[in-house]
Amino acid sequence: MSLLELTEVKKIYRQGEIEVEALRGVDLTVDKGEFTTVFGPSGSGKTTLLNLIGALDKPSSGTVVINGESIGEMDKNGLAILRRYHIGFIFQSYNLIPVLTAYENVEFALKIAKGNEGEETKEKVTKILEQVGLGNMLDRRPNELSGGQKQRVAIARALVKEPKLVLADEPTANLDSKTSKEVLELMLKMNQELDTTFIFSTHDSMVMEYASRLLEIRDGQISREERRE
Amino acid sequence: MYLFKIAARNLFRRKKRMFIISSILALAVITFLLIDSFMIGMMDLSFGNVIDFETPHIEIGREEFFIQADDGQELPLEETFIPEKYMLEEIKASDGFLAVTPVLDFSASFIAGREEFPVLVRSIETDSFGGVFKNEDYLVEGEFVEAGDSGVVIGNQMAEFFDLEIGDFYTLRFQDKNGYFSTIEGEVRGITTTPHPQMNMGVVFVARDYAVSRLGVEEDNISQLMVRVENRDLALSSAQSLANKFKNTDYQVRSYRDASEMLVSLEAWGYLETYFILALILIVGAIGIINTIVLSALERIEEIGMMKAMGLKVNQIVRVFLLEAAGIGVIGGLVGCIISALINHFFVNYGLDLDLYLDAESMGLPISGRLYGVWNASSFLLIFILVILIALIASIIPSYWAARKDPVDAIHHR
Amino acid sequence: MRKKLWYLLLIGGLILFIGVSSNFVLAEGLTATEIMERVDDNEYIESARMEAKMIIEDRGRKRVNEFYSYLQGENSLSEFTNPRDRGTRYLKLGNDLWMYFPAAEDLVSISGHMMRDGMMGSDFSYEDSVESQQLSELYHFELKGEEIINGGETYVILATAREGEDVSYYQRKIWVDQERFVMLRGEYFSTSGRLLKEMEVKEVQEFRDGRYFPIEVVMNDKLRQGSRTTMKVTEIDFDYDIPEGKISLETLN
Ligand SMILES: Nc1ncnc2c1ncn2[C@@H]1O[C@H](COP(=O)(O)OP(=O)(O)OP(=O)(O)O)[C@@H](O)[C@H]1O
Ligand SMILES: [Mg+2]
Repeated sequence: MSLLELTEVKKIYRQGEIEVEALRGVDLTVDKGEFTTVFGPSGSGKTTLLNLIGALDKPSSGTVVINGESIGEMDKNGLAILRRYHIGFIFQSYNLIPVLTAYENVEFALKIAKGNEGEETKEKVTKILEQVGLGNMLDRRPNELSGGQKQRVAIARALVKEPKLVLADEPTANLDSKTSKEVLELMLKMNQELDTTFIFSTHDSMVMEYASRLLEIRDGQISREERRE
Repeated sequence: MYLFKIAARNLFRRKKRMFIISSILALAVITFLLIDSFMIGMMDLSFGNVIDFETPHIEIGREEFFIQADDGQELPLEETFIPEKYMLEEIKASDGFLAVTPVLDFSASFIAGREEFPVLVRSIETDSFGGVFKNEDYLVEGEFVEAGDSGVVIGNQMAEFFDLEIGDFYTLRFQDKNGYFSTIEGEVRGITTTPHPQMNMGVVFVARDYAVSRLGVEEDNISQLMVRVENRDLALSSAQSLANKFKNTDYQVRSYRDASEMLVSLEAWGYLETYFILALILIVGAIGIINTIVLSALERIEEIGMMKAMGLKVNQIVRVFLLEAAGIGVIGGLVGCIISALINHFFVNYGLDLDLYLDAESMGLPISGRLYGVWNASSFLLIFILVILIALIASIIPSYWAARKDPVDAIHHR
Repeated sequence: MRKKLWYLLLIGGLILFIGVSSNFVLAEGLTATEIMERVDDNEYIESARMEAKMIIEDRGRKRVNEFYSYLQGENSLSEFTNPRDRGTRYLKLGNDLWMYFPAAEDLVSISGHMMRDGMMGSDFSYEDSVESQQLSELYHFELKGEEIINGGETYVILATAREGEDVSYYQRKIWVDQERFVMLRGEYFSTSGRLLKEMEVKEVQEFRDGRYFPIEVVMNDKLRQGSRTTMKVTEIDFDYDIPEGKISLETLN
């Protein structure tokens, strides 16, 4: 069974009188452990697709099945639970909670998903932050971190609960190329070490080089697909 | 736990805003607590003065007498009575009984020189009067009323008004029980200055055994039996039980509260006013809190989106905001209570010079001199809880509004 | 013969009885009660319209109030006409008194301690004005002797309040002019015998039908120092036809 199955997915946004068809029939299957990149021009529907895959939104028609559950039939709390246990997010603008330290941001995500496990929680949080190279910055608040460091915290936060799926919407858009590279290598390392499935969107051709599977999206449809070693 | 931590830290994110809103709440708390202390202090003093100088804890008289007295009419000499033995026994057997004294009150015009002024003449039994009333302790000149003597004791304001000194002559003109004009005349024996201003102007004390001969009533007639008990609470309960015992007679038993209806309604008005002010300030506070929550929500919209993406439910996000609002309430309430306590400490120990701040006499309040505050723990508790509650209630709607933001819009809001 | 003796005894007894029962018979043969009934005939007003002045002298200051009144038995309506009090009205119905103040459009019922006060600050109290019944209804009389006032002979009569009547002064001493049967002087006493007020008639006038009526009276409240009030009737019409409903609360305001 695939981790993710999209069939005939359409998404229409309504803004008053105007209707925008952001996705026009997407079929997609993603298996465990894949490191997939979605790319395409601006406005093509990358973010829309990731939102649906991440159970942040529901499709206008068609089905999205995540880990065997169809999100079309779930209510808001059901979606929240699904995200809580199975999906990690990484965003372009990091979206860390500014009043919490790096350590706390990560711990918070873990505690939401797993509850308090005492020492084990502490170990896990410390370990993952060391893995992303922030072992010495546990007590820094987001405003005391650089962009790359913030994104590392975001990655740690997305991964600490060991989700089945990590979604990253243009994770490197705000980073310089050197930092982008470090971040991508980190994600790849995590993908290999933890066998976590990654799906991320990008404009950046450098990002594509890391992917094991490339999806090109144009006008709300997958126009090209490529698998690499 | 995390929600609490986040809320607590969010509280100090916008320090200026937090400071303003909690100051408003603190101000509400201070205003309420000080007015409350002032009110209770004032009522306490008022009732205290009434009890010590006007109507003690319990008074017993004929129903009709009280009706006419309350109506502002001349006190009816026809409604005087000779106390029966069983009544005195019942009174002495009541809870907390300390002393009883009979008085014979009547209306008269006090005449000295060319002036004339309507007064209440209280004819007293000199032996027992001091056990119930404190007037004698406030004698500033001369002597107190003596049995069989024609001398009177008047208040200092009356002495001033008539320009009277000890030994000066006075005449009391009144209508006796049969309606004939009658007089009592003699010398001013003593002058009192009590803290009850009305007692210093409109009341004259004379020995009952002397006055009674001119009143056209029988020698043992009195208008009221005045009773002092141990404290005000006992006064109310003993008055009630005496009232039950005399239910089928035409005697009426009144507690000091029944007797000073004006004060009791003033007290009610005072409370109403206090709560009105409180409500006003709290409304302002509530608006401030709504405003704060809406502003925080707007500036944290991405954060909210992230928290939703992380799997927090709407209720959990609402909780963050509610906790934050409650936090503002706690800070405002705590600061308010502490400052109030400090100010009230001075108010309780040093008091306020009433004459500087308000004309209590023209308001009809039986007080003068210094007014002291009162510690009222229940008010502190009440207002503290109330402020938190208001903060919570005011923030419910904006919190839900914030928490219901679609995570998609929230995250990509730019 | 026996019958005649019987009559004599009866008449003698009667005379003795009358003498003993205090109605001391003077030379003219009038009892105190009869004298006072004749006074009432002169002074009691059945119905009249009157104009008068009240001159109040208090501590050297002098104030004059002018007014006119409609009088009818126990009821009366008066209105002040002097500038200071113009329009102030005063209504008496039996024992009840009201005043109307035009400036404040205020109707005040006079009761309580106000009844003891001087009317408009005068030496006449409101209570005094309420007593408008015939004196012979209110008092028992006792002839005390005769005295000469201003060269005229008077009867001196002691009036003591009848029990149960609504009377303000327990006793009055009254000097009655022996020719004209009007009071020339009065002293009002409290129960304990204290002199409360003194009344003196300065002028008496004869009206139609041979009626005598005092038109200048000075009242002196003995409890207030240095004050006296003179009431001067400037015009009085005993046959005035008072319109129906004139003396009522409705006309007061
Ligand atoms: N919330 C929304 N309401 C209305 N229209 C939307 C909304 N989100 C996206 N769209 C529209 O849907 C289309 C797809 O947008 P989407 O954000 O998915 O593109 P994208 O590929 O992520 O673009 P970019 O590279 O600029 O991020 C666009 O035309 C966009 O204007
Ligand atoms: Mg996008």
